[in-house]
Amino acid sequence: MNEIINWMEGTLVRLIPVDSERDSKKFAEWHRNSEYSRLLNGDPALMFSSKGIGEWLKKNELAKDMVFFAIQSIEDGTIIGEIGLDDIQPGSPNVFVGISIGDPQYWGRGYGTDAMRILLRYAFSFLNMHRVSLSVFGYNERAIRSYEKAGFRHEGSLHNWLNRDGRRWDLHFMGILQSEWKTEKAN
Amino acid sequence: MISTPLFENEQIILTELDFEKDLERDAGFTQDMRYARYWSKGFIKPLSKNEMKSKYEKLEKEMDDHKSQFHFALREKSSQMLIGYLRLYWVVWNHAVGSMSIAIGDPQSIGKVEGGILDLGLQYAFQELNLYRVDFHVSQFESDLLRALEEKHWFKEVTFREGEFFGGKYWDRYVYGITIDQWKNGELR
Repeated sequence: MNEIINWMEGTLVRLIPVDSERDSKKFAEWHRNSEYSRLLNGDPALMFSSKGIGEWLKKNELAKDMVFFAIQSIEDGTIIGEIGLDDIQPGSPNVFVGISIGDPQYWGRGYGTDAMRILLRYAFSFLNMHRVSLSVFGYNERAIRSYEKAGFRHEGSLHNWLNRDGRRWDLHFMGILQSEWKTEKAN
Repeated sequence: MISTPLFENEQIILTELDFEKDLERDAGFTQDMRYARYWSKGFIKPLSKNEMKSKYEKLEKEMDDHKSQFHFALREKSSQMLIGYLRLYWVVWNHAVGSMSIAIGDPQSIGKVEGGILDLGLQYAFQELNLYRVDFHVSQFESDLLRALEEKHWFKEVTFREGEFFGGKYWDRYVYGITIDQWKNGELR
């Protein structure tokens, strides 16, 4: 047997199940920051009640085609973000990962990269995914650097896909194959 | 006056789903696993008539509920026989973007109709939905669609390396794209 004792723990964070009762208020608060919402997805930036978010989280907790984790700081136990694999399909070699760090004081300090490394280890060591993909907006340079550090490679961009702040931005796609992840780990 | 016909070209017409006439023929096409992919999510298998009916019902409900999906049955113009579908989906209105899918099940039509259907799809996307750009996700083994996309001057923008497992092999998946400006320039060419 290998030496990893806690597969879901890295150096700065651990991944734990999302708990709708514990997390819904915090998730709702994160959305008050429009910068967070505009990094998160392409929907119009908007806020949701903690009740609404709680119901959505509960549905995700119980869904069978996705995994969804809270990102917890090891140092103080704070829930700082979320990460998950969406729409896992039998027979498909590919899965998309989504991640967000909701609390801005943890931005740019390696917490997201650490969470992503744990998630990749989980996807390749337990789900035996052939590859993991993600999409990221052209203006999210901090995230792009983080994904590169975690081992993702650029696979192309949808030119001018997004319309925000009065101009259009590219939607980039990145991916990592299980074989690349293993090689990187060995080095 | 607006008189440009949106739903036909010389060979093909776009119509609504027909629960009476199409189910058996459409289900029959899914014996070809390449076509079955277009009606399956991950789990690919040939479908029965009842399964196809359930797919049609779900599709109509989704189209009605979300208004982000536009599905057309494709028919050969002279015989009115079903040959496959054209679909605009994942339309994101605040960014004016959407994706297109073309599935041809009729073996006689494969390799002959794709270019004309791409034209009809883009005419609808740009002149009726008022989208700014359209994407097309396509597998490496779909040679007829790839040829049509290249001939119609779409741009290959993304390669998901080994993003699909089909017939015992890994294949790349590509995303092609075109904006309204590129489409208009192509019309002038």
